[in-house]
Amino acid sequence: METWHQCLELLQDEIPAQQFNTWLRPLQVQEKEGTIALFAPNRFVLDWVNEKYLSRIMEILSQISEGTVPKVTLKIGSVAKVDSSTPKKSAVTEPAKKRDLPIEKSDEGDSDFIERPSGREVRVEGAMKHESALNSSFTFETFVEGKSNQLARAAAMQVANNAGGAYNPLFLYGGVGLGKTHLMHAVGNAIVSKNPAAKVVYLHSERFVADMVKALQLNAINDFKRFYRSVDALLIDDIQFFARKERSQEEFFHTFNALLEGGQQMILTCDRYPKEIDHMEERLKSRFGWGLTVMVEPPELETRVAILMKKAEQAKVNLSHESAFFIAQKIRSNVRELEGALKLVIANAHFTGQEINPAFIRECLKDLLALHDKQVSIDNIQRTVAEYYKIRVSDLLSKRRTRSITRPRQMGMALAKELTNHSLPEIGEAFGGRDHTTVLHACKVVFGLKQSDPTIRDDYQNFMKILTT
Amino acid sequence: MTTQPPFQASQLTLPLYARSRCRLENYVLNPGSTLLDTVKGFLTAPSDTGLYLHGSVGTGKTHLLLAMAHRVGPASSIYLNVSELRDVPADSVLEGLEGKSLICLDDLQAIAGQEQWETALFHLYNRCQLSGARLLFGATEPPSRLGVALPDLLSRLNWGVVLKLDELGDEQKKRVMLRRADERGIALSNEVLQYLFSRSQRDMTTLVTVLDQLDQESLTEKRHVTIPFIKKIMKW
Repeated sequence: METWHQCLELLQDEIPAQQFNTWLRPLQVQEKEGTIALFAPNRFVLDWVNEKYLSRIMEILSQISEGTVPKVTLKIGSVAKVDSSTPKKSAVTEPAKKRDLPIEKSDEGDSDFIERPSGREVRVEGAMKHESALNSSFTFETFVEGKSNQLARAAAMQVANNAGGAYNPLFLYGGVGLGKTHLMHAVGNAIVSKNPAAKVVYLHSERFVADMVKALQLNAINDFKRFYRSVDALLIDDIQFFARKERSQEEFFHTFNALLEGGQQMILTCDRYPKEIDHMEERLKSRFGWGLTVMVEPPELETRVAILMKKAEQAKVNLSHESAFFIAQKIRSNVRELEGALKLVIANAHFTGQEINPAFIRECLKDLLALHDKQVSIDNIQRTVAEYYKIRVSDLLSKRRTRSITRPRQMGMALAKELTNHSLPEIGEAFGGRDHTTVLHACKVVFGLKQSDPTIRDDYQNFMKILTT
Repeated sequence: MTTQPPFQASQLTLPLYARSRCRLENYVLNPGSTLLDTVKGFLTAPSDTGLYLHGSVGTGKTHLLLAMAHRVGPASSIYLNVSELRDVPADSVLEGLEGKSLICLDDLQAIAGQEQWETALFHLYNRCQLSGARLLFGATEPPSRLGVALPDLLSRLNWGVVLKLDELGDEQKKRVMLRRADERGIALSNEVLQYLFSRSQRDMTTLVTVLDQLDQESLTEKRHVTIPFIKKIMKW
């Protein structure tokens, strides 16, 4: 260790701190018998060090070494020793364990003292161990049900009770942060709790692609196929990231067919309706729709309140209904942002010892709220709606009652109710001096159409996206 | 895809930190700030994957990120300033980093709107969630103003605590200046410090740029940094 530390000290004096900290300090080292092995976390860092610093490192080593200059090798991976100051995550959410996997031999020499695989680990061949990667905190019990997700939840329950049955695949789609992944894990956890021996594998689509690429490189595609076809339930998140990846689509197509034939359950999530996924093979898209396709919608106010109460309870924090209501009213886009806001409030309360109430929350979230308040004025809604439907704002405010105007007007009112804190009379007033009952009627019409008319549903979602992000 | 934001002035941070030793112990806070508690707490919070720090240039983001990486230890952490890496393949830069305990990614605004980077970062986030690694982000803008085109990434950046770093007060800025001067081997008297603060613009970027210039000139001219010397160099 000594030689390398001396070398580092000298390097530190001549290389700008930021570069030193980025590239050299994180290198792990193993010195033995005249060799110094340096470990980089990935190929990129390795190449960078090799190109920019290795010759200088060699120069310094030759200056400071008495007698023979040590041989330096650069490798990918890490040394057996683990830093004792490493913070450990507590097991509350039980992140999946690092997979116990074979390590790919590094090109740079033997890897006999690499203990912990990092980066280039490979998960192929017959020895591929089954790891479910299920998050045990995502269950039906911890899922907050509301109007926006009750259909999806019911469908997921059905699948959990009858895996591999009629609803195969279960295709959950909707915007980001609405609970698709949570539901997917909930089904997986339910299957495992009924049958602890069940092989339920959860993974992100990226992982499937990466595994396949490695398998192809290592001529292990048959092991890859065998593994993915041997599971009882396969849960793949964010399937839209298969777009443009033809070979992955091809492999997945065959996996899909095999699982379907074998009566093994598949659950897929996506950010959009199957038919709308671009750069995806038609035959796959049509198969996605063979089972049950359900949408998860953004949570409405009551559900957002309930989600916050649940999260606070999990964090063992006292959150009054009034406080939860205050946050839920202000933050509307998705559950992740809602959670982020709550975490900030809890952290502030914890470190200042103050009680959580709306005034305290307003102070904690002032930066965040400034962003939101700005985005949701009635003016902004009217301009967005008019532009979207290619009409004029003055049409929205006029007395005209043709359908091409009333629909956008109703949409605007419904959005104003959902996205602003204005009272119904204020909204009516802002839309050409209308009565508050007209606003109420508009909200009902839009709500009804969202259920029955896909175009209106898409429009509504688009507006939510445009206005809240 | 949104258009790519113009390159920010954050490159300035590179020379500014060239000889600093960024540690939590020498991080200067405004009175009553719970920033450090929150950031330290992030390392032990049970379920958090990301923490996002934003603030204008010179508010101490880079210092904090480097200090946190140092605290966790070089073997278990990595600090990357992505503005230096925006032209290299994101996949290869971020590959395998989830094996670390803490990954600090600075100047995130530099890669916002770049499809490859956004996708790679999104995938890294997901991998970190599974491995238990933590991501500490630094950027000039909050997530929603960053210009992120991939909604999946945006919602994840917003998932953890998002903290704004405020401008320091004058007293705190003076402490930072004293420390930085000390690191350069310059002794700043109270009078000189007072003089600097009464003449210069008082944002940290300008102050440190002035200090750099004075450092350079005092070395060249072999003179101490005094009020007459500053007057001459800065033409105040």
